[in-house]
Amino acid sequence: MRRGIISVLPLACLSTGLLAGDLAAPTAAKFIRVILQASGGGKVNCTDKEIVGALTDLGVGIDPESKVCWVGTDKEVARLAALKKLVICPNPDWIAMGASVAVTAEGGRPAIYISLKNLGANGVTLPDSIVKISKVVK
Amino acid sequence: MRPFRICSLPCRVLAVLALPLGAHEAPQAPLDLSSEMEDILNTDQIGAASKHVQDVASAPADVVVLRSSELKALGYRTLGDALGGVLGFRTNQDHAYQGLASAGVYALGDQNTRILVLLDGHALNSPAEVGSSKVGEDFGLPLELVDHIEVVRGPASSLYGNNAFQALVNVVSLSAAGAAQRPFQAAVTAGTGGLSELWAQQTLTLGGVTSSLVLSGFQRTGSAQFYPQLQADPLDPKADREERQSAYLYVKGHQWSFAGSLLSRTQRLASAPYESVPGDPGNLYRNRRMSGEFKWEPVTRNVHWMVRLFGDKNEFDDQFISQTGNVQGNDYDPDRSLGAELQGRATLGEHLTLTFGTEQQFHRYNGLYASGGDEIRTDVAYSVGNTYLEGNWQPSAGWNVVAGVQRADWRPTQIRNTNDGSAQDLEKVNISRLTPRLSLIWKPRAGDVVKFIYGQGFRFPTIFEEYYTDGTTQFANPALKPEVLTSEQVSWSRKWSSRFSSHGAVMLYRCEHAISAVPIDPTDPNSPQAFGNAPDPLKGTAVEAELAWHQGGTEISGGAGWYDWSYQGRPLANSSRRLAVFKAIQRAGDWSLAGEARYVGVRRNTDPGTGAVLTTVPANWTLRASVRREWGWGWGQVSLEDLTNSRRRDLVAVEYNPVTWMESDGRAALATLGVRF
Repeated sequence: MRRGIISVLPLACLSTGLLAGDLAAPTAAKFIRVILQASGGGKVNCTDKEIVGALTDLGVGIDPESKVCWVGTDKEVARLAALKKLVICPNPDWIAMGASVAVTAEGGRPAIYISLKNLGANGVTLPDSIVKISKVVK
Repeated sequence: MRPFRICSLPCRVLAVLALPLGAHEAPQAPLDLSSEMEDILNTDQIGAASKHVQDVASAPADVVVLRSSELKALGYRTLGDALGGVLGFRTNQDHAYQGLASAGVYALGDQNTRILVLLDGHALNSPAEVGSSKVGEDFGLPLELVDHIEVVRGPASSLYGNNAFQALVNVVSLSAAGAAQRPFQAAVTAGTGGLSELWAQQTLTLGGVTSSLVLSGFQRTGSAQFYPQLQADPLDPKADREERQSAYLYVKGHQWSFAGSLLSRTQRLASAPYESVPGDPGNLYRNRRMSGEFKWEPVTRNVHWMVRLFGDKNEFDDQFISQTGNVQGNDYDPDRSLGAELQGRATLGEHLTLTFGTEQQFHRYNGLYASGGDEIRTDVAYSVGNTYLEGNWQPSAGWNVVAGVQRADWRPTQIRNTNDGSAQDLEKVNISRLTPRLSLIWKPRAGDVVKFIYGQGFRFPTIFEEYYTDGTTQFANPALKPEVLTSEQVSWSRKWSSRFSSHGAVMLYRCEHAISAVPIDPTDPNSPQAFGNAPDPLKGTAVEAELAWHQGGTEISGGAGWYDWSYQGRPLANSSRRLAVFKAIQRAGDWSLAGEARYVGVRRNTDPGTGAVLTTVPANWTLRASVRREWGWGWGQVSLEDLTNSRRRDLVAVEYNPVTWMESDGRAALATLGVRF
């Protein structure tokens, strides 16, 4: 039993994906759909299986080439932001790495963080109604 | 592309939403996204129901989330106060421990062993359970520093094992939630009854690691109490004095965290059990708790792993002053444990997730009872195991099936009683059981959620119940069976609009092998006691209805419940048939004004043999009001508690038997001033 655990854990360190963090996958999927609707896009780049399932239930398609990306790891944030993608992530700290929007849980409910600077760098403007209910990271 | 919609919300909002994304794009149709955004932002998240974060609609249980904004606005001081505002729960105050009832019932003398309380996922309950409640001052963390409280109304043993019997409560601190906090916060509270509390928190972030240390101290001189069935005159408030010191450290890095806590709480006992002198401040209970937990949560492509290593030390001791002014007896009951848990959550395809794990705890309990030069020792070494598997399958849109099974083990390896130097090894009996769970969640359309929930909770006999020995309780009960609570629930939640929602539930309970204290000789009022399983099941029915409405800065919610608990066809002692709670919060800029009203119906203690009513506590309303002001540098708050409840009465089992009732002044006024920078 002990040998089994020891062999599993180093493998686990090689993390390549992250689920919805401290936000439920269906809630994250709903938020991604709102951003897609605001941007006029119909598909999202997402590799998280649980969120993909929730997006599929909402009728949202998956496209690895989409301008809008859900990113679950900090390593992917900088790479996709450099490609002028609109990066949505579950961790507000990753906005400093180039993510444009973060959706996480605070006080038991979702909270939205946005960077107007990163959005502007991608040529994107979000409606004031979304900006108003978000925490703007400067 | 979504079609146009007729304006149904303020045109100003829609006009803003209609702005296209990107100035270079062609003008687009106005999109009504505000209701979707409001729906998202009002979706409560809960991690306790299935050991991973879900929205409440998907949780395979009847769940409630108390948010920090609500906790702050209402100015709750203790966890029990906050939970008492959840429909179905109520507190039972005997001024030894703050007891907590669930589904309207509280077993007198219970030290909250039937509700599992977690702080940042770490269980505060100890399998030994030798004196603590977890929801009063012995919780330890100021509610100002709580991000949210997750409440599962119903059993949750299929994942959590022992103690998740009637309900599960997970308190998530701001630090564990990763909430943004100022580097330093502190608050001082002063109140009636000589109440004073001071706490301070220092938060430090260095190299991606955030640490938070909270130090807290509390004391109150007490309030006058009256035990008319025990003593003719009210007792001196000094005999009710309580104090507590606590510390909580939380360190969070990338995929790992460490939590450590220290707590000491002392409560004088005006109730004067075990023939000690009523009103003597030398009568006291003391609880000490120390815990540490390291958690690592690595992730592979499809699997979330969680490794938990933890240790706990729970100590209880007491002291009683005899009629001659001497210490007539005291107990010292320490339980030390080390444990580990490995858990995984695998996503298989898009619509199936599996949660699996195993947890092992190794305990040593070394109880000592001393009286008049005599010593009785109880030494027990035992382990507790919990292995679980749960699947969540979405066969089609709108349906979720959650099924799980858990195996629990309780294995003593040494049980020795030593009385005046004479040691005796007692019979060791291993206990194991399987606990199933099945939930069907149906979402026929957006906003409607119907849940069919079948679950079980169990509680192993505590050391106290099974092997404890002192001057009053002298009989080992190795044949005690674990209590099992089977619950069948149907609930319907509906969002009638983005602002108005309702929730209704019907629950059927069946409790087998209920454990209670029984006198060895029922005809002798001074007979020693033992613990035994009830030969027949306890049966319960609960019907609850709740409404919630919010608009702008106004939140109004409320609900009422009807509860019927019986044993052998007679009403169960200390169960309340009717409970209700109403809350209103108004926020305006930096101000909030909040009020709460709770109703608790009549509670009775009946003779288990004849059903005759022995003691009655009348129904009562409890009112709370609180006003709070935020500034950039801190906050101020004034709260009034128990406005109408000037003579609060509760049933009390001073020595487990007999049951009496007590009356105390429940009114309190509190003022808090906090700073943050």
